[in-house]
Amino acid sequence: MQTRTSLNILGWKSNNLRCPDHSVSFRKGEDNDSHRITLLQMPNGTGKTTLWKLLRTALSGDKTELQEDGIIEFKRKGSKDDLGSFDVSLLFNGAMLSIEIDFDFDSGTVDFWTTYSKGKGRVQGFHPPIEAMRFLNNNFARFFIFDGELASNFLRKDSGKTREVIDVISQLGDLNNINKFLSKYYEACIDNCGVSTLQGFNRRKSAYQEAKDTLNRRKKELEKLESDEKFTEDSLEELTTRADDYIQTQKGIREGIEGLEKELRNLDAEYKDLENRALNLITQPDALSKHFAEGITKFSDSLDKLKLPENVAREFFVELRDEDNCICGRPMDKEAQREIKEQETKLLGSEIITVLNQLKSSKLPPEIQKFEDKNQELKAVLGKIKENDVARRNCATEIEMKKNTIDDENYVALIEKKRNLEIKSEEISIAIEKYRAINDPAKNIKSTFSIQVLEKELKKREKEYLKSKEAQAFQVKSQLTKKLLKNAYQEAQRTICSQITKDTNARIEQVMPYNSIRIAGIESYLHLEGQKGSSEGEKLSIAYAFLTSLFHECGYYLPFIVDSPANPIDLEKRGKIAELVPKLADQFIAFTISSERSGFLDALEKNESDIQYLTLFRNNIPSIVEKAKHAKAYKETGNGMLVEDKSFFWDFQIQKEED
Amino acid sequence: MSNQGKYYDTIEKSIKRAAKQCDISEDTADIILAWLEFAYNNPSAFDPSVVLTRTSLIDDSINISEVELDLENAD
Repeated sequence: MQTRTSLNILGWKSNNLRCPDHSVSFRKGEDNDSHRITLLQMPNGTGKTTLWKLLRTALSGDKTELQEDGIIEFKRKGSKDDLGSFDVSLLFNGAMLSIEIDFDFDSGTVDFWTTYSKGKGRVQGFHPPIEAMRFLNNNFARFFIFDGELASNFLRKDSGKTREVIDVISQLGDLNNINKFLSKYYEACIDNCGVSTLQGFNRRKSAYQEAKDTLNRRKKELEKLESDEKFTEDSLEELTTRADDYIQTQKGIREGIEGLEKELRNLDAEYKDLENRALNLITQPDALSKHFAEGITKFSDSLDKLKLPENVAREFFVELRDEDNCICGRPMDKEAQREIKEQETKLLGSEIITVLNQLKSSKLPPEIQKFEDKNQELKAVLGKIKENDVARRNCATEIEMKKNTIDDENYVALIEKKRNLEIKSEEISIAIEKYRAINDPAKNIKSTFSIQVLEKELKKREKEYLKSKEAQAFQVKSQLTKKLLKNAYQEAQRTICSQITKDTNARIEQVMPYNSIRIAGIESYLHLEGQKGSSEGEKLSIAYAFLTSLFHECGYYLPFIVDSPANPIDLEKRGKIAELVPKLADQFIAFTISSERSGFLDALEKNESDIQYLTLFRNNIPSIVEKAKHAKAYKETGNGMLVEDKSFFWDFQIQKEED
Repeated sequence: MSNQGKYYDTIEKSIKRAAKQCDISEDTADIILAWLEFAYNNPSAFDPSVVLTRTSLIDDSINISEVELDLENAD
């Protein structure tokens, strides 16, 4: 259920101040209900303005107005007492609240004291409950403790009071406050970012992105290079292993070939030896065949029998030619000598002679007699030759086969590949060094390879970018919140002003039905429709209508205190104002003078039955004092009388008192 | 309806509508409204410590995307 904040003035008490000492209560009976309308009639000069200022001070907690006038000015004239006080009793949301203003005229100071029934008792200072502080302040109080000057200000273009009162009462002003404090907050946030200017966010962002991209690219390149390096190293290792294996394998083959070649050489040597031995044996016919052996023996024996010279040599023929007779007995003539010489050449050149010589010169070895042994040896040698031949062929074949297994072409290709890989590996190492270097000679980030340099640069740029980003974010938020609050303020203000304009015009029509004056709208002032000016009464009527409309929706039940509510208004319009007054607030306190009654009071009584009639005056006119003493209720103090009586009120005729 | 009367209701609607227009979340609007409600009954609503807490709350409730940052960028 909706509950509203309410404040009622239950009364006040004044002591040793410029207004007569008095104590007034607006209570109806013993409970805390107060009269809806209280008319406090005070002749001019009774200290009405003083009382007005005291009320405004007590309900705002602002002493400025008192201090501006000078504290001593509030002292009762002729009083020897240096102390004075003004005490207002209030009922706030059903709880008692009292605000006291203590004057020390000697020291020229004033002090507030606050007593709240739900608080800590009487405390020094202006300390109403915080819920009441919203309207118990100088900004707000002047709108419900209302004077004619404010009414004029509502219509003055340069006063700005109209928007001000709307802002204060509707809370639109709080919206502006929030906006103001948010702007300050964001200004401080941006300052804290240490960014001197908000310009360059994109530049910093691009610079950061450029460093980030370059670093990522270089990292990927390095990763690729490292992968290539590993691959190259692995390939190199594999190739080296393969080359070593190859070399090892080839070494074995080559050693095998060398061994075989040595073996072949040995076999060749053996072959030659065997061949010689075989030839030697073969040149011994007796070794070849038993028949040869027997034949040679027989032939040799024959040569011996034929007495053939032992030596069939050239000397034989030379000696023969010198003989007188040939061996055949014929005389050795010249013809015979010539014939011998001719035959000598032929004979000495034939193999037969050689054989014969051998046969003749040689003594037949005893081996001939050992044919069996020789033949066996020959056969053995020939057998070995055969074996040797097979062995040599096999050896040569094996050498050839082994030589065929030597793959030098592939080995060269492998070595070439290894060499290329070594070159590539070196190139990669050089390239990687650029990426792993601590420094980089490059003049710009895009040409930089060193990861360390790039990381350092990225960090620097990131820091600048983040600061700029943070500041930018604050800037954007500031703009957004400003826009939000400005838009909300403008829209709410349009709606509220439009509604108040409508309500105000309805009330103006009620107050002044035959007057075409209306407000066209609310700007910084109440803008009148087609009107260039208005009378004081019209101004007050419009102000009442406006304030009534304004307070009607504010959510507070506040008292409405008006100084001379009808005085400036034409008599014929007072009745309409009087109709309006009961609608202004739940409690309406009006400071009046006797001349205001006409045209106002009758109408007021017609519209409201709960009216309290009070008359406050100095008790310096005996006839009036005497009359007052016959009133229903009165209180007399040292310098004043307060009478609560309708008839007395109506009959009271003093408009101005002499001090 | 709030205890603060029709003016507050009008302001509340306006703030919510403005928040939508500005593409600001309802959370932010609610924090502003909570501050207004607090201010309605508390004269200390704009004391430095309260201001700092409330402004920080509003700030925290607003999320700015990269796109918004770029869009709002002046240079």
